[in-house]
Amino acid sequence: MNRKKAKNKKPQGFGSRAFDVINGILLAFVGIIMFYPMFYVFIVSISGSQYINQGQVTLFPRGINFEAYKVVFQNKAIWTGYKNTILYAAFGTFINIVCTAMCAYPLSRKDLYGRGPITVIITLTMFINGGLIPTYLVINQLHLLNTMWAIVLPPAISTYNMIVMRTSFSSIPESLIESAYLDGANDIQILIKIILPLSKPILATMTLFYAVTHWNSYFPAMIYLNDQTKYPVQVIMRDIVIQGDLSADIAGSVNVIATNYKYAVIVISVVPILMVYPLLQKYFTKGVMVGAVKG
Amino acid sequence: MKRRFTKQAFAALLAATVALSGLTGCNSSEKTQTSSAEASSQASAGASTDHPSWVSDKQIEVSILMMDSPNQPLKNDTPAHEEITKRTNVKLNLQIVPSSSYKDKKNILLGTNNFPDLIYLQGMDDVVTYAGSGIFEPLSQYVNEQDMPNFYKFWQQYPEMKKYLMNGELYVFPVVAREESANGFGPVIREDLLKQNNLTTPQTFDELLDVLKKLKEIYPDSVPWTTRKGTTNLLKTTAYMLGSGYDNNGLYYDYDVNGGSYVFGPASQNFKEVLSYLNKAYEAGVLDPDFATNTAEQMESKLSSGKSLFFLDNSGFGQNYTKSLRKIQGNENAVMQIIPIPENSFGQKRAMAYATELPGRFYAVNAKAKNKKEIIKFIDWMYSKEGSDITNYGVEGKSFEYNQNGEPEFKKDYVMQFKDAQPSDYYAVYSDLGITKLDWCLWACNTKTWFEIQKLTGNWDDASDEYWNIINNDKAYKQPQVNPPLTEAESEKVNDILVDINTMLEQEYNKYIMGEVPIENWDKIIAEQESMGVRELEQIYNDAEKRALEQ
Repeated sequence: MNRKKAKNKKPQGFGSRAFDVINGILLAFVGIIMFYPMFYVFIVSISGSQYINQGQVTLFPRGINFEAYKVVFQNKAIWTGYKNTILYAAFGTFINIVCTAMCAYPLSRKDLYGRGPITVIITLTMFINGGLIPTYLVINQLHLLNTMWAIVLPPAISTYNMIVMRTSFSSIPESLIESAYLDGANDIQILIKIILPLSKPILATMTLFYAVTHWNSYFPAMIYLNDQTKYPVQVIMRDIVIQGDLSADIAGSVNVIATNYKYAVIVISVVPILMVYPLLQKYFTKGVMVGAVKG
Repeated sequence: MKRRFTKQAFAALLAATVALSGLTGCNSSEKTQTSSAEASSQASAGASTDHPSWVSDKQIEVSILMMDSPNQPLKNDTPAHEEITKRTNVKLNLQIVPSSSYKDKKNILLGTNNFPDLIYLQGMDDVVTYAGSGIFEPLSQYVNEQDMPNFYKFWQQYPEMKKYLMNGELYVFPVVAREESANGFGPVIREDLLKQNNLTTPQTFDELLDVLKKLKEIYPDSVPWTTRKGTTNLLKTTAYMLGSGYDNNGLYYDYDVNGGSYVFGPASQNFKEVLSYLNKAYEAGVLDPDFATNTAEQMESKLSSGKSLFFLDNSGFGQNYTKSLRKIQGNENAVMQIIPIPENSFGQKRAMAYATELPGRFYAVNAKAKNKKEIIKFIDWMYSKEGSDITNYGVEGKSFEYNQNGEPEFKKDYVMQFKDAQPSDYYAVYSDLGITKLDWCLWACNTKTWFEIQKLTGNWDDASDEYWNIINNDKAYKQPQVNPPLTEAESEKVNDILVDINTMLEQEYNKYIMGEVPIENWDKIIAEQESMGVRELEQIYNDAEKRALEQ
């Protein structure tokens, strides 16, 4: 807002205005390129299948109907999948935030013994991991297979996010922590009462990152879960979208899943997480500026 | 307070004694059975008058890793599965994996040796990889009249099942098709336009080209012949009919060469005929100029909008396009119909059907499975008429009845509830009952039950009737050969050669089809393939074939 006002006050020459216009056009163009695929998926999902088959749906929906959505909502697997996704995302994100904060805080303190080596060891996990089969065997031996824990526990801390959070924690002035000590607070109290309240923007950002990751993740669920009723919606969506292509090759199979059905499933599984973005956006900008304003 | 406690304690004690006595009772009866193995056969025979097909007196659970299908979503505890439990005392536990993830999941489960009692395999590749590791139960010991009377019948009926042996040992049970109608790649054309313009149905491929040229003249805006998935798919669909072949990355089985042998299509002289035919079609403007880049969606959109008039691919697609075409105004009589396979320039009429007798679905038994004996007995029951009727028609009295000839027939009032189901009536019936090829079924129907259901619901139309008539009466269709098993060293060698040759070839095809290079130059390409080991490749397959048949 402030910036806009400042710009309006500036005297504008022709060159500056021309730049603004061209800039606006270019960015609008880029924006359309980004927006169109999503828009296309949406208009196909509400168009009549004969128009889609004939390739007549390009900019506007044709033969508008909501049959595809009706069919999707009749699919019980999608509802249970939805329920599971929300559960995994909410619970998983909670575990993520708790674990990441508890790991990041000690590392942000300069008086932690062995801080350097510990950081190096943790950073190493960004480059080296156990691989799929060993990980599977570990999960199996821990008896986590076919339970929610196999989905929410292994990705409890993302190293990258943890380092971002640690950096943000260390930008909090040490004098705050010292004065808390003087008032008789212990480390846990300092973390909960001083550090976390001061770090709301970074917590919001991390919540969004983690929630999106959980929302989009299908691979662990596909590998570790055996029970159909435990699948998240992404596994089901992926099956519907990809299978439409495969089934065309199977002998005698003349029923290919309709495109609008596929796209309706995509829309339904994407919209909830899209709606979270605007709610958390304000923290995003703050989160970036927090470090810059202080000092 | 005290009285209540004693009362409760007494009740608990009583319950415990009852349970205990029940247990010991069971125990003793089991003991007598195991102690006198021979004598118990009489006893179990007595019990089996009520349940002739029970594989075990105690209910056992069999877990199976299955691949789901969006057309026919699989479920546990469907009516057919419950009927199986009733008849055999086996409780099924299907672990259903979405089809798009099946390969990854299966690989991990096999790699960690952590799969259920039975696992569905899509081909023999996993058997080649894992046969030596001992994770699959060796099955040859059971394949005899005594242990598996029903499967043994099929084993003798289909000698090509010997090709499923790996180093002389069987590791998988193949699904056997029950009265399957064959379809495959075939030419499909707008029949209504032929009639409208007084064109006769082409008998040879040259006539076909003429007809398409005439259609192009009459409808200049059209692109008569469209394709999907690029050049290799075009070769896959057309090459065999035109006298050569292209399957399995170029390698195919030719029934007409030396009484049947494996040939690498692009390295044979006949392949020039294929390329020159496609070249003629391209230059006449008949073949879609975008043939190298078309996707499946583009093909669908061109054919169902009437822009394209002909395709040579899975001929079953035609019925879908007919339905879409008729929704366009002024097009109510449009028909995309298959034509009998035309004669090629060598005077042959030939085409490859999809595998129908042995559809290439397999189940392997986990070597660690409990109750292996019962599982084998159960699997054998699945190959019996009783087992097949239940796994293809559901529950007697609920979904089907036997007619005078003892053949199962669907009940109309049951089937009618699915008349307007999505994606189709028959898939909805399959899914509801938990039956046929895609579910747990070893002697499996697909088209047989499909036709019967559609005839009952009234969704069967004349075009479908005509389509299947033409295909079933066309003697040109041959069943695809079951490929022989290769040793690990051989399959490595084959892969090496194939990658090199196909990388080279994929850059060449389009030049010849588009006429940039004269067809005579293909001889040079053949020579180049020979220097890359193409003859060795053919030799490996033909030797493996011989080896497999001698077993």
